[in-house]
Amino acid sequence: MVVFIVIYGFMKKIDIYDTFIDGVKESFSMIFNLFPTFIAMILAINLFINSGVLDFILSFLKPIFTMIKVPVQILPLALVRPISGSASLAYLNNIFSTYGPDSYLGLLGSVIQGCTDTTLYVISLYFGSVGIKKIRYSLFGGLCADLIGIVASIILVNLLFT
Amino acid sequence: MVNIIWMVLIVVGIFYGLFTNNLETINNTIVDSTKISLDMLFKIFPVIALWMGLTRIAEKSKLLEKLSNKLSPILTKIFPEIPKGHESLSLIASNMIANVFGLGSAATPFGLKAMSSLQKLNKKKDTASRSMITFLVINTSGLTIIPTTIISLRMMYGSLEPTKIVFACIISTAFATIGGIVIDRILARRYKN
Repeated sequence: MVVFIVIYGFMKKIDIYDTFIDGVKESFSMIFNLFPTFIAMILAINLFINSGVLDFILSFLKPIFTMIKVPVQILPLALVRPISGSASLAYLNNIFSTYGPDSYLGLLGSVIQGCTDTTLYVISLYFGSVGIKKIRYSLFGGLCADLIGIVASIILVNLLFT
Repeated sequence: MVNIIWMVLIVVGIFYGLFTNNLETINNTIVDSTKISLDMLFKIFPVIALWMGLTRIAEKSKLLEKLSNKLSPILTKIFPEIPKGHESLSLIASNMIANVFGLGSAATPFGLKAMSSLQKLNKKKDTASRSMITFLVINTSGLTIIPTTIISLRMMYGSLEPTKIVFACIISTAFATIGGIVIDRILARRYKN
């Protein structure tokens, strides 16, 4: 992709070097705008996870999950996935090392991790960069998409791998 | 809305920590989180800088325009509020293309530029426009066809078939994305007033 863009620009006879420098300059102001949002969101998310609230909520959801025959071990991953990408990747690491990447749980975890992006992160990053404060229904919409993806993953893994 | 989410996360977190006698963890988290966010920012900064430079070339050489022309029949349907031929359409197209190929780090700068371009169209500067929300919902549903991070993690743990999950990932992502677009449509209609 990199080579293609550079060669394409060269063939179109534009000043590729100066254009590149120009674009990079713009990234400074972008990072500058992002910094406050980053600090604010990571503080809140980490407080929420580290204090144990998340584990507390999980213990409530457990019975529901056992009822619909979804392994409880996958619950933290599914719940954390939309909130924090690095935290869910850590859970996936954990699942791989305990059960193995080719086990049912390993496969299910992989698909859940792959089916959605970190909604909260994307929303705070993208809206933060342009200074939007009223996000309206975007969080709800994003979380719904995540839920659909997670449910689809569970059904698919059951259909394809068992 | 952001105010409420932020407050709930912090207040609930701290009170739960107090309640369970976890004061030390809470204190450490507060002190560490600025460091963690700075680390994360430094991690994505070089990638953003590089791709912003390349995007500028792609933009000036009309490469973006070409790409978006191919995608625009679909995009104008998904984003009815963006005027035809507006630069944000080509940026959204590039963001999607980068996402589809699993180039998450390349997708972010395109997405950020698309966002600031959508902001130019936005009438209320502190409120998310409908197009912005549609774009975000599509983005948060992943769009990934080749989940490179997961495949490499599976390899690291000695998986016999690291790519076994690719097909299931594609289908479930498709479900999430299409579901996201449908829900966005419904919500947009409900929130019109």
